[in-house]
Amino acid sequence: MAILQSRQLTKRFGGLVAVNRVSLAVEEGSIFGLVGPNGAGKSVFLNCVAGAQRPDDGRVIFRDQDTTGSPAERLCHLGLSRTFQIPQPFPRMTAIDTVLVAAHFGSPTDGVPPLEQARRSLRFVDFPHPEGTPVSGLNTVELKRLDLARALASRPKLLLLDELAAGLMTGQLGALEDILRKIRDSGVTIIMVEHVIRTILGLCDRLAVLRQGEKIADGPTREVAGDPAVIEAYLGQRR
Amino acid sequence: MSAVKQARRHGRRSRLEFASMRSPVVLTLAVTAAVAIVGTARAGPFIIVNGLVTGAIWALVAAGLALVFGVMNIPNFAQGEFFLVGSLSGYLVFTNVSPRIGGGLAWAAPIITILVALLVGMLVGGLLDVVIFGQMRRRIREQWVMNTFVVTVGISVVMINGYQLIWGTDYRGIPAYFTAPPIHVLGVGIAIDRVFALAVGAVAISGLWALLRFARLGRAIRAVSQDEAGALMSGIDISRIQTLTFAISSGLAALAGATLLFNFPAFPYVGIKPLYVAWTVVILAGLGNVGGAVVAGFIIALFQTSTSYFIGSQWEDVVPFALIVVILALRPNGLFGRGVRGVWEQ
Repeated sequence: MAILQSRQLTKRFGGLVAVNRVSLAVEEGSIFGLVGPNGAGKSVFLNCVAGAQRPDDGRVIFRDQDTTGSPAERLCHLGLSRTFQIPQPFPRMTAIDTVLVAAHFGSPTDGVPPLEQARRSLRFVDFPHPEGTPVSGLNTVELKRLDLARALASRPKLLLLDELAAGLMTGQLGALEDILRKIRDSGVTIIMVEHVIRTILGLCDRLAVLRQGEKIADGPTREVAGDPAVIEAYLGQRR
Repeated sequence: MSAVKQARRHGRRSRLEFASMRSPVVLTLAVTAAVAIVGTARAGPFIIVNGLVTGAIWALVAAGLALVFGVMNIPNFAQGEFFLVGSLSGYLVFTNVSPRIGGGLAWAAPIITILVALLVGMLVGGLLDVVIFGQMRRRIREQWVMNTFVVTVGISVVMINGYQLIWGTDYRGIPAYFTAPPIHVLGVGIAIDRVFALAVGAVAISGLWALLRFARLGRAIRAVSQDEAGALMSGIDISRIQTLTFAISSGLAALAGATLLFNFPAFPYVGIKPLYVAWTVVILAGLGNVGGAVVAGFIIALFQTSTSYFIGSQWEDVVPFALIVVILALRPNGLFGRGVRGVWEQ
């Protein structure tokens, strides 16, 4: 069953069509990869789905509801959470406070008290410091984990990750990949925009490829990765 | 900017500020202490006592100003008119309630009065935010600070003239909330009304602090002021939080207005002085710094009481303005400034 569908989703900026009639269906319980060269419209697509930008055309169906143009906080309450390419922490809070905010305001609680929910999320991402650590002293990997913990604390059904691996060194990727698998196994669907090919191939069940705003491929990861059109989009035409 | 750089910048900035901010803070606190000691030695402890009472109330008005600037990036020049809303509601409620409850319950009338004023202030503020700033949030992205500044000045003018139109220019005040004789502390007679004002200030400031520190709503307010994208992602309805923030800020000013009714009767321009004092306080503390505003409120009040005693009460308003000029010239981020990031500019 598809947890998220986009139908003919379109976003224009003046004369530029950033996302052009993109239709996708993301199966519940899977990790779905969204790839493409820079400027292909991946982040804009994500923004339109997550309520950060309003699509000009087309529909977004999330958990059988038409959520086209819904504001981000409503989507969060419905169970859609996200992280950004650059972590967006609350710079003058502690780690636990940051996560607690999402536990308080995320989708309706399942009876777990917010503080307990927040602690569970921090443990889930193996946050390496005591919970009272100030956010201002954390490094990139720790901030990414914190961003993930905060997203999880809002009890999402669908998690959108925008270039989680960006800015990380290869050695740091493995641990994050393990966390993402753990998240999927706990029943949360993941859509990830990513550039690191190894991470994509290792994690994603399905892939969609965007190029200049249009979807040029969509299918199981292995098939898509071998598609000549995809290779051309990334590497240019073979002469 | 890469996330690494951003994270490092936060860390380094706070350390740098800490190092460079120590001396002016120490200097200011030393000067303040000196004024307090010298003033007390030459004029008696009432300098400190009056400073505390006035300071508590300035702190209320200024904390509201700092809150709205920190969370919404609105330099609110209509804050004084919420003080006026408080004075007027206070006057109307007290003069109607007080004659009806007498005897043993007379002490309840001022409390009912200031609570009603707080509520009215919050309602008017919340309504104003929905009608004006809520619309601006949806439509304006550029030049937010400048636009809202002009709008608040406009709101102030409209409210002053609206008041004048309906209630005229008469002073509507009361001689005192309490009829009991003054109490004596350290040989200074303090009117019960002033003790009451100090208590109201202390309770309201502690309440605000506890709200911001521990409550669910306070967490949301801090989250919105620190990172809007993150707040949205956590499921916070930003516009609602901003409406509540504005309501709280307006409520605090109205509470201050009602509490000081014995000293500041309601009339169209009563808000001007609290507004300018509050701005001095906020500039001294650093824009958006709520905790600093409380400390700075006491500092300014102490300077005012000393000036008024040693130089003359007509100089009382000169001191805050002179301070604004000095602070802006020497230390534009304020004493405790920590480079508050704007809500809309992240």
